[in-house]
Amino acid sequence: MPISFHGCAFGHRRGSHVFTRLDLDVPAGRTALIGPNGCGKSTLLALAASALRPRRGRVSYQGLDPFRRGNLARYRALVGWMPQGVRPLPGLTAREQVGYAGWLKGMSRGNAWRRSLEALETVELGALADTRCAELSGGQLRRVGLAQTLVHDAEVVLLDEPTAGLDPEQRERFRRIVARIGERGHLIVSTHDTAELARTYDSVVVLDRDRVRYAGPVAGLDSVAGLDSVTGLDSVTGLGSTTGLGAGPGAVAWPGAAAGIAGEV
Amino acid sequence: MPLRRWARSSAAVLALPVLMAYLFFVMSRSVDVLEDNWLSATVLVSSAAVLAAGPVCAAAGAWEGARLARGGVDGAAAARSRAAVLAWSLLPILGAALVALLGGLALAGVAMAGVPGLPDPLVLAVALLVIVAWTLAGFAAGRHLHPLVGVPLLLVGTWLWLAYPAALETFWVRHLTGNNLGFCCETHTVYDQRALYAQAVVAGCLAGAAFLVWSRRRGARLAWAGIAGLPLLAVAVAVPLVRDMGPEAQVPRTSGLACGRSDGVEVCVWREREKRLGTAALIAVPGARRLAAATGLPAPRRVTEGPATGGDSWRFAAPPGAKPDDVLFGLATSLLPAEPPVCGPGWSGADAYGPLSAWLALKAGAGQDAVERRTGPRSLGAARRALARPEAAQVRWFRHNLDALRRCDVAPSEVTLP
Repeated sequence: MPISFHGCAFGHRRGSHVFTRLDLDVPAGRTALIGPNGCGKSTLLALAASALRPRRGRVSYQGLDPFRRGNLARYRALVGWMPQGVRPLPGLTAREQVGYAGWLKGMSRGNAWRRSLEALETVELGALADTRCAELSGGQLRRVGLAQTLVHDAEVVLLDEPTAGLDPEQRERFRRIVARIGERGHLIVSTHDTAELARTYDSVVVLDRDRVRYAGPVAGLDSVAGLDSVTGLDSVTGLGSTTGLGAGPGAVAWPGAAAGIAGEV
Repeated sequence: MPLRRWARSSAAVLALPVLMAYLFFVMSRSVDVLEDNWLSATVLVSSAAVLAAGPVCAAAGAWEGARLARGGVDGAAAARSRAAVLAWSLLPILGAALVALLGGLALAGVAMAGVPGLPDPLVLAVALLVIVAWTLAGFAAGRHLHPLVGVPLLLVGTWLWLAYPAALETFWVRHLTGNNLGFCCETHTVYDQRALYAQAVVAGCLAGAAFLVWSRRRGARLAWAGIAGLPLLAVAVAVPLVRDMGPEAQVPRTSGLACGRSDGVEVCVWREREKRLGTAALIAVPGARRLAAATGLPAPRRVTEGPATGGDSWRFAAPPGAKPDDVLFGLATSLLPAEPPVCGPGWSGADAYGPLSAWLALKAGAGQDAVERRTGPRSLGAARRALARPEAAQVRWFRHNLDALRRCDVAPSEVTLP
């Protein structure tokens, strides 16, 4: 399992909560994280990135708990995270931004600088490496953000709604890039873009409020009743309709996944 | 990423020309009055650098702090520690501060050409620490304030803290800032190290508190304790160090003499003036002998620019550009008390100072014109009247008026012209 959540509780303010008890083993490969606005997708990714610390419980990657003494830097070097808003440092070019991000992730300055161009080429932005980020379009900026998550060869890449607000051509380009990234390591993408889930992802996690409603292969999603109200789509997989198919809540079994999920579904 | 790439986008690099222009402006007003010692030059350089670079670097820090905040570095799940992130952002600003210090040293070096010695590294280190502390304060402010607020606030606030305490009648405040007012020290004095320690403590605590503000995580109680406790620590440690200090942080110099012997008398000058030791001896030793004969005092075994420890050790000064008359005048007046006695109103002993100075200088061999320039015609006139008496009467006149300078119950005698 690339990322595991065990009994995680989290709230942004005292008294509020996003998760009261989250148990989830995110499977290997390419995983889509879907759910309605405000259900905690971004928070889950931020917890997975160790940008947020759970109030209770623990997050781990292959048993490595980032908040155990001495683990944080190692954990963060293994995980790449692109939050929803890509915020470049004012004054930096795309390559400088990516190189700086690599350095932040623990790479040597020289190595980060060398790898920054490769990362930009991976996201098809090599030609704009020396352009200031302020001059890039929203879609190009997202790709700079993506390059930042790739520059240090993270084993797990977390992308928070990378295609939100992009035009169809940019989305298609993103899908292409995401597919390539998924071949190199584990990928968790929160998205509302559920078209062609099956073609892009191996598995899917459905969040509803602070609960995991489904975690399993994309192909199994259509068999779970009632998810269309969560996903807002008739067919989230692109393979068929969810309506009237499958068993009720609790019937989903994720092959090889932790039993912890069952209690949440 | 290469440092030059990072520095290219740093506010400090953009601000460097302004910083250097201000530095040269500050230094150009003072470089001509440098004493012939490197401590004086070092303090001038450190003062100018702190006054010029402190506010600019603080403002640059506020800009960089805001830039890191806007770039989301704080929440970027970085593997690097916050200290490393801060240090990397600090590098170009620190570079600008170093350029300012080196530029100041180069200017001072031109003025100090030929003077033996080196800049005082402790004074420069404390100056750098003060600049770094204010830069960190800028980072801390920049994390929380919009640059339109944070940058001018740090620029003006830092400048005021560095410059304004000199205008206060409470002297100790000025010794905490690190500005040093641009002057210290005459060659026979050295910097009072207590002021340096106090500045280092204040700067260290400011830097520590600023780092905690910049790097603290929500709810970190230890960080809050540090933020509240470090300023208190600074006050508790630094203020007692400087509270009893006067307007200047100087104490008499006790070491650094170059000595030789001339005609049986040891002659010592400050090592910066070693080249003039022979010339000084040729003037001071015969002058001392003449003075001893005229006053009835035992001839000194040592004449020195350093501390004179007793009756057989007399002081003189041979600063650069001093003429023989100046050296003799200094030697002569060293026989007079340096400070007046603490007497009530109505004490008239001070009236004896000018005539006695003139008489002693003339006895030492100084020319009348030089003596008149220094003491005025009335004092010279009184001295010449005394010189017209027999030797024994002159000695009595000298001793009586010397007593008048030392005691409250003795009135001066025949020190005014009829």
